[in-house]
Amino acid sequence: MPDEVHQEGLSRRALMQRAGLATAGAALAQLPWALDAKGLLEEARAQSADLTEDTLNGLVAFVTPGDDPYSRQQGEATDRPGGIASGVTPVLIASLNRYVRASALGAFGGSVPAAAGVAALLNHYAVQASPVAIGPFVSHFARLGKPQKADVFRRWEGDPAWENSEMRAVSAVLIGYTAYLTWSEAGVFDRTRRAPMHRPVGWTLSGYGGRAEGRRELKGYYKGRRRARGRRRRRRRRRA
Amino acid sequence: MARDVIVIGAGGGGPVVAKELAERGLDVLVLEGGPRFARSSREMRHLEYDANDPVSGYLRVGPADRSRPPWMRDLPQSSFVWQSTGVGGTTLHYFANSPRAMPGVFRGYRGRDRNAYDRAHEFPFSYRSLIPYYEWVEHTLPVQTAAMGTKERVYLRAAARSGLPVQAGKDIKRNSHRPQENAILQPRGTAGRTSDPRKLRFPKARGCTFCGFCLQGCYEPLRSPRNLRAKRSTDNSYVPMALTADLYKRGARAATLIANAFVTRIGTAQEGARTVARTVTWRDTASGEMHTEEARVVVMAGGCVENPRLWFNSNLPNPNDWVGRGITDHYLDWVIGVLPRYTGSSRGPNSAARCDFPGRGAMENVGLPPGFQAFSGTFSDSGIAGFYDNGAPAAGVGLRGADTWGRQVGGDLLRMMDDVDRVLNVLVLTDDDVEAQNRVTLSPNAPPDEHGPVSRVEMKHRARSARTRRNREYVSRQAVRLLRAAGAERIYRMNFPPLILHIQSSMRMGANPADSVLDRNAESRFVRRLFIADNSALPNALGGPNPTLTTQALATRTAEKIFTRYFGGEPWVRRESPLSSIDDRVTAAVFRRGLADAPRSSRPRRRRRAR
Repeated sequence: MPDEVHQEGLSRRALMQRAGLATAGAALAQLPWALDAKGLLEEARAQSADLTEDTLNGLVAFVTPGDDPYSRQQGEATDRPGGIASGVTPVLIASLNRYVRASALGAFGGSVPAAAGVAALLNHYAVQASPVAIGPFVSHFARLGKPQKADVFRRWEGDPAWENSEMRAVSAVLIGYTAYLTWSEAGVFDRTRRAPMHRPVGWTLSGYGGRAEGRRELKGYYKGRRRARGRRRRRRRRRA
Repeated sequence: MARDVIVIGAGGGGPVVAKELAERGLDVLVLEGGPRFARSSREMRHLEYDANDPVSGYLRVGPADRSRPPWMRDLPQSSFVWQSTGVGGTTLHYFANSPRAMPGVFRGYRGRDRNAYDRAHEFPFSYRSLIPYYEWVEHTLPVQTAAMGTKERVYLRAAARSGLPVQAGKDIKRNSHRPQENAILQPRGTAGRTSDPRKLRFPKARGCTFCGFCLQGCYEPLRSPRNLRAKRSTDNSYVPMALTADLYKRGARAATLIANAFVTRIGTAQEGARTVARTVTWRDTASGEMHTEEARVVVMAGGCVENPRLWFNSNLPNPNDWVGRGITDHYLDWVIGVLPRYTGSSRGPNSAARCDFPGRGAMENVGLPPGFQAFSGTFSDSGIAGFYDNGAPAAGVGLRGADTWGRQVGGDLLRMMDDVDRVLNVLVLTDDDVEAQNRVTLSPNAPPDEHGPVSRVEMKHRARSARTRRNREYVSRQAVRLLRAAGAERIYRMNFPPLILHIQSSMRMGANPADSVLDRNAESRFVRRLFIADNSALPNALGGPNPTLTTQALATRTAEKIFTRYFGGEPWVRRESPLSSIDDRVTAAVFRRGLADAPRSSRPRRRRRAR
């Protein structure tokens, strides 16, 4: 990151410590700095929950399309339930927001939920990828076609502003984390019972057998070998 | 009064030192920053979001209270650090693969391929001298040859078809394939032969039930005593032994374990010209209370990321600037094949077949449930398939015979995931070089957490040594070759960015004082009476094999060094026989101390005298 910004970040950290606010984990702690560097901090702060959800719906459909309006908008849909139907968007938003406490972002004069910050960055690059995008969604990113959405990630990953910053790690993990949540039980997980409320979409899409205490899958031992050769027989030399 | 030994961290290595020294009668205190799953049969689930979510899963890096945020690290590059806190540490979610290291990474190796290894960072002693410690651990855990499910049969037959010979022994001597040597009790009785949970209860079922959930922590078979659980994570093996040593061995003393105790400082004193470790301060992660105890010897075993952090936060000396440097991570890669037939990839032990390439690295089959399978197909340093490659070819990375690479999204991901049980995955383990640029420091950007400044993990993966990059390309090509031999219809090379889960050598031992933190006994060069006994103590990447067994063998050796150097004892590994953690005497002790997490009907019938 540029020295100027780096220095500014340090002084802000010191400010946070003085204010007793430095209590959060590190991941995404640089998000306010990243948003500030792009002139998006106020926009992210003012962003509505609907816009955040709309944007991340666009991401979920990009990773795992289905029979939903977001998938149809991007030009890649299926006739089966996909990521949107998996119910994962609220989980993704909650996870991003829990990844770092709002208090860690407070040094910038107010809280910025991390999901809103990520959504602001996606929409920022979306405008660069395609300045004009028409569609029924409030999010610019969600209105893009699949190639333009891919271009958003190309721009994010290639942005020299993020050299040696954790925003590189965020761009690397965002798609994978979204996929992990979508294809696991996350979208239908009942935290009280610690069990899925019903069969997750990802399990159905992948033909997964689900939970089991064991499987009838034992096929014996390779070439009948039950132990590796060359094991020295231990002599009992002394009882302790 | 001072403890004899305080062990910081109850992961893969710390409990080994604790158990061995408790058996010698020392007063050992083990501190673990994360939770203890004392009733794992009720606390763990066969669900990958509940278990492994890095934000809220019970196997995350974070406090026991899952409503609180995780403990995070600053990662200034595309990467992901995958560890777990809690008693058992990363062995809670590991695959229990227990190969020995390549002989070529040790001092004195005279093989014709000796120059194929990272000679500048070899072990400061011979392979032969470590073998008794390997044998001790292999018997204690125990380590056994893995049985096959369908995916192992497909993998091993394809390896044979691709021209690799079978390795029949434990020592790696040539390019070869074999079933894994795993720290997993192999199936007996009904285990692996039925999916009916009513028939899968201990003792009708013993050992691995082929459930497919190694990653979520092992509590199988149902109703089994804690020390007879299939996967030998340390919470199922070494920890129960450390806590009951006085009950199964005369002259032993049970270790004390405190979970949710995050160590924030190691205090030192001067003994003449020497700085020595003297105190350990920790924070109760639930109450926030601070505690300090004295010890005659301190053992750091908090892992490759937390050890350097604790060192820096304790203001311990670092005269050669090698604290935190030299991380190896096997520069993992991932190759996925989609086959026209059933592989059972989501079933059975997660990894039970491998190939080794001395001087190059290794590769192994990995089976996954759908969430992780989807993650593995969408985590790439080669951009998004069909759209951009992120400059990977310019970095010397190629398809190596695969059909495609980069993140699979949209229809590509749906096609890849169409049937999770027709997938065959190969994990590429590179023999990577120790390089000073890959390191842990304190983050200058991220705010401190409740335990002080946090770690920054820097991996310059695109600037790694030519040998490291060459090895990775070689093994990835072998993975593609194997998948072709298996009949894969479509092969995906993912070109992972650093997925830091085999993390080694950040506090490395070595012969050269200029580039090592530990001497050949695993004692710190700069602070005496301070030892390290986890993956961070390893001198190098072992040639590619999974690190836990070697760490545990080294930790056993370290325990002996501590006992002989500071407590006037005699070494024991070459003179005595180890007791297996599944011995009836240990089982009886585990029941007697109330650690069994199983009904009394699962108690062994026959009792033996303490040895």
